[in-house]
Amino acid sequence: MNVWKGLLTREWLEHKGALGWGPVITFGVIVVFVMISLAIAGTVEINLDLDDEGHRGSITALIDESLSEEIPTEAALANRLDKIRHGVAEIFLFVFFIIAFFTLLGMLFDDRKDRSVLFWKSVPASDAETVLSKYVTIAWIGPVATIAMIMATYVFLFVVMTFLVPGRGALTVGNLWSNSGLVVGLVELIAGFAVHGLWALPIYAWLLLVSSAVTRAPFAWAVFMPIVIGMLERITFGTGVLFKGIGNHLSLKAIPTAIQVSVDEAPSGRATGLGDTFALFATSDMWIGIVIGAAFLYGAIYLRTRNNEI
Amino acid sequence: MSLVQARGLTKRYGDVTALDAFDLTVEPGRIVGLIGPNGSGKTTALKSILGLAHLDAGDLSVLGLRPEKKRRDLMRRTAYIADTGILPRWMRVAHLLDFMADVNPSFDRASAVAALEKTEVRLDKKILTLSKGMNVQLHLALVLAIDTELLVLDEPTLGLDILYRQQFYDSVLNDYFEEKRSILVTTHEVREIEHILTDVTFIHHGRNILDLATDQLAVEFAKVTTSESGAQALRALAPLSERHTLHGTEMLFRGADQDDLARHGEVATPNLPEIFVALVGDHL
Repeated sequence: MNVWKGLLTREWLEHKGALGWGPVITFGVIVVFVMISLAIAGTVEINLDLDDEGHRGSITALIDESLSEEIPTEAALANRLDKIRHGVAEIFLFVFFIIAFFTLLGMLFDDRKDRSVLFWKSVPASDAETVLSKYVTIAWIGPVATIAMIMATYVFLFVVMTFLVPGRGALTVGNLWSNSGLVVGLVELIAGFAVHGLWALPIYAWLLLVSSAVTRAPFAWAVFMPIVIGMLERITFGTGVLFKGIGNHLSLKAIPTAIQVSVDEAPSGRATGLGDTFALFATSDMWIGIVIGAAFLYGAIYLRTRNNEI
Repeated sequence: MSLVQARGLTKRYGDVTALDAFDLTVEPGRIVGLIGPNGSGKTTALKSILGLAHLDAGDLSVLGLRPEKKRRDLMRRTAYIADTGILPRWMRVAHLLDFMADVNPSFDRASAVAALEKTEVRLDKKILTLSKGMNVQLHLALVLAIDTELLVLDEPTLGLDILYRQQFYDSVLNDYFEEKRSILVTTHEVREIEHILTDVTFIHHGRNILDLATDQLAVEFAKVTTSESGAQALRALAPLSERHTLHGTEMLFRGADQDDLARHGEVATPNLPEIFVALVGDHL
């Protein structure tokens, strides 16, 4: 297993600038934004989506309700706080997706371009191990930093709210933290990313395949090839199976935080949404995706053995 | 057993035949020079030996393994240095050593560190900040810290200062080369390695032009410098090549009786480039 330790460490070292610093910088930007917003407006809008009752997932909404002396029910409060958490998570998930996309595209391309592929192939690690280590890095190692920074942002915002909200109405610090959902949020993120790594396999593996195959313009190949094939499908058969499949596996539906679980669906007052996450394994979409993804990975490995410097 | 046994290697890239039934043998304890001009198939030959090129035909066994199928096993016992700059530029030296220690059980990190202490290469430096010469020193330190049987060098001193070049081959000879180990080296600077080679293989258009132990060169080949009248007589002995210089006519012979030649002019042993040019003259 030392080979795997070496390969994964090497991937992390090469990509920590994107996978590690990306979320850290996002965290920093959010902190600065919140501080400026607080200084100027005295409040922060975290999520601009309206819920069923027309409330925004914002600290403003919390303060308004609190000032109206109308203590929100536990469930309603939890719902507001969920909105805030989800808003934060969505920002990070978007950043993660962009980083993962470009990192994967470069992983089997850049080293051929700078000729270091000749060095990587001169060490006793097989092409299969090399390609799989790159997939594992994006699927399950990169997300650790993103999860850590999402949690850091949660904690930061709850500290801010601890100073802002109570004392301006009926809401207490105890109320706020007991409904924070921080533990649930952490569990959701860990389990969600764990499953998402498999759910997104066909997407990740496609990007690795392109990265391994082409000698130029990996971005164009990765994006335009599926668009052209999908359009041909539409013209020829009048169906949209490919586009639907791509959209489906691009979605972050495995990660509960991102799918806006509403309290209405969960009578207990707090939805973890993990049921939905694991229910993916009961869908044919998951297994078809895994089969197609495995085929793409095989192709990426095969081409890795053939293609050297560009 | 031969470390490298290649028979009839053939590789085509579209219409271009890079290797055309090429043969190569590397025995233990030898330093084999693979010599040929750019585009002669040298690099393709080395790549197939390392399992990096897929052959269209031929039998190839390296350390008893088929490189194409068993590259990982092969690389535990083989080291490879290409012309400068294939080490990952973004990496720090210390991390590269850690990586090697993780993936290769026979890599001795302490010995690599000790070797680097004798150079300007610092462990906390990023590889992209190293000069070309330091890059080669680092790569050499990595390679020498692995217990390998075969070292493959592809134009290793390309673009290096003369000082580093000398040092490079000195290190390879002193710290790597021994009884059971072999080196396979290509270079366009033939003169630079001529004196260290035990065997040469000339390659041109992907074909073998000559395979010979270097100690046989003086027996097999002779260069005669002669006057115009001597040249007349010598032409009957079928010279490989004839050249007119300031000192007279220079003729190169293969397998000729050296006493015969000495009667017509001054006999000397030709160097490798002279032999190469004389042999390839027929094949152009």
